[in-house]
Amino acid sequence: MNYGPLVFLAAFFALATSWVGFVLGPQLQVGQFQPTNTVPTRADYPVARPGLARQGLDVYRANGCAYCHSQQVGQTGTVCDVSLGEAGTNQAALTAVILKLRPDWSETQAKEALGSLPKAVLQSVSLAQAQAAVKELAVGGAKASVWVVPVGPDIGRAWGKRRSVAEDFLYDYPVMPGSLRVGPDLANVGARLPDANWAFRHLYAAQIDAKGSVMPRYPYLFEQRKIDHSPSPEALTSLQQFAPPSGYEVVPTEEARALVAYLFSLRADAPLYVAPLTVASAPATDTNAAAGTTPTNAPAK
Amino acid sequence: MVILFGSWAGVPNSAPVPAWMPALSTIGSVLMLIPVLAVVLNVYHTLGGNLSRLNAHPALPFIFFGAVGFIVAGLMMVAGALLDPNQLLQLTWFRTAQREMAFYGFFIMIIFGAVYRILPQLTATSLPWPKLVRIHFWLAVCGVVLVVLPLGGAGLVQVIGLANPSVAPVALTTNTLPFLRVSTIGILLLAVGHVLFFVNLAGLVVSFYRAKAAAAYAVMTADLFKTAGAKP
Repeated sequence: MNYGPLVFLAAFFALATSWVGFVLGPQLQVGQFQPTNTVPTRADYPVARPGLARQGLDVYRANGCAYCHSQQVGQTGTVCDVSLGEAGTNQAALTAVILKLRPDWSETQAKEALGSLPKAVLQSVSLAQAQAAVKELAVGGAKASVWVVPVGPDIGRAWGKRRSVAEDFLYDYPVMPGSLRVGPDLANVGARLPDANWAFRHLYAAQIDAKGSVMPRYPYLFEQRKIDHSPSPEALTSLQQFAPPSGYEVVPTEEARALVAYLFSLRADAPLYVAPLTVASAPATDTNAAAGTTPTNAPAK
Repeated sequence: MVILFGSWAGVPNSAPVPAWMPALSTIGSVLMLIPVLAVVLNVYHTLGGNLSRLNAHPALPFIFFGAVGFIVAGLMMVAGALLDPNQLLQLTWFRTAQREMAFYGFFIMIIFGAVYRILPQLTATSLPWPKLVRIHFWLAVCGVVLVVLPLGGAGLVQVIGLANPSVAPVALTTNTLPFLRVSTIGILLLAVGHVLFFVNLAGLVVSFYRAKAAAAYAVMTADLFKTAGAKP
């Protein structure tokens, strides 16, 4: 008996199923993704990275940052908070409701809460509980609202406000979500550490600010040069044991600037339909500043 | 089975992709238990519980360890998919340990065994230093264990730290450093094993071609002498 064709067909079928499932299927779905908008502020999302940040993506890739840093925030669940915005006119009735909702609070604690509005009177409850509480709190013109709060160990570390979704990477090529966390996750680093001096110093020698860090140094992203007349305003400060000899200064090259611009453009805090999250409403004077949905441009140097 | 299920495995729940992909991937990982079970049964019934049969040929221990490596790597895959609710394990050294087990503990060990078995038959000679094969085997076993166990331990330490937001990010890495240093020793053992493998192989090739060259030289020179002698 000649089983050759049968074996070939079986192997072909086996390989074809996983190809259809994990190459063709995702391509048909994820490949069709269009820019979406934030909920409920309806700002465009994602916004293409500014030019310098786009160049920074290539620097990030060239230096292998993705080997040790992931860019994907995990989320284990979503809970609801009830936030009291306005106390209204009937404070006594409101205090009674709050004390009913929070048996663990004393009356003084409830009154203190009323004195420091807006304040979360209930935390980590289910959506039904939160909605019921909002109804109960609506006494005497008091206004409460349900806040959607993603939770998880990554979010507890402020590595992101919500889980990463495929839309976050829409304008990136190649996508570098990373697969190993030797260093911290960088999905939200632009919102977490928006200090250009810190970022440059960290790239020059991570051990300065993070004692015991195993991150390699990237001195070739910087230029050590003789101070001419007066020091450059861009020169790195507080380099401690890595400081250049006197009369010299360390300034970031264009590559370092691009990399830091890219890092600052990494944010995982836009509220989306697929990853809901309530963010503090922006001040009325600046309607465009909603929830940091606009990635910041080059570092303010 | 391995192609059918194994190629689906490995997408963590936390991955930024539509949710059906990690779900399917977890199912694929768990179904890997079927080929793992098949290998367990095959190995068990082939040996009949008698490990001393492995001494019949120096290459057999490699094949046996490769089969065990496949089983362990498969179980690590299933454990990683099922026992870890936050799926943080997928972003740690545990994943590297599992990959090393599958690549080195399974695939490369089988290939070593196959080369040690097939090459002497192809060349119709025997390995010049069969004892080195034994030493290579034990070096490889110690190397794989010293790479996979510490990396797996580092992954567990990492996952405990990652699950607890009060652990500082630098401590996440520095806690794993002792494990990584031990795994470096394992890699060194593997490298020494590779040197022994190369020595044996080089010896085999040299003896094979020396025999060939001697035969060819004999043929050529015999011809030469014949024609020379045939001249009047």
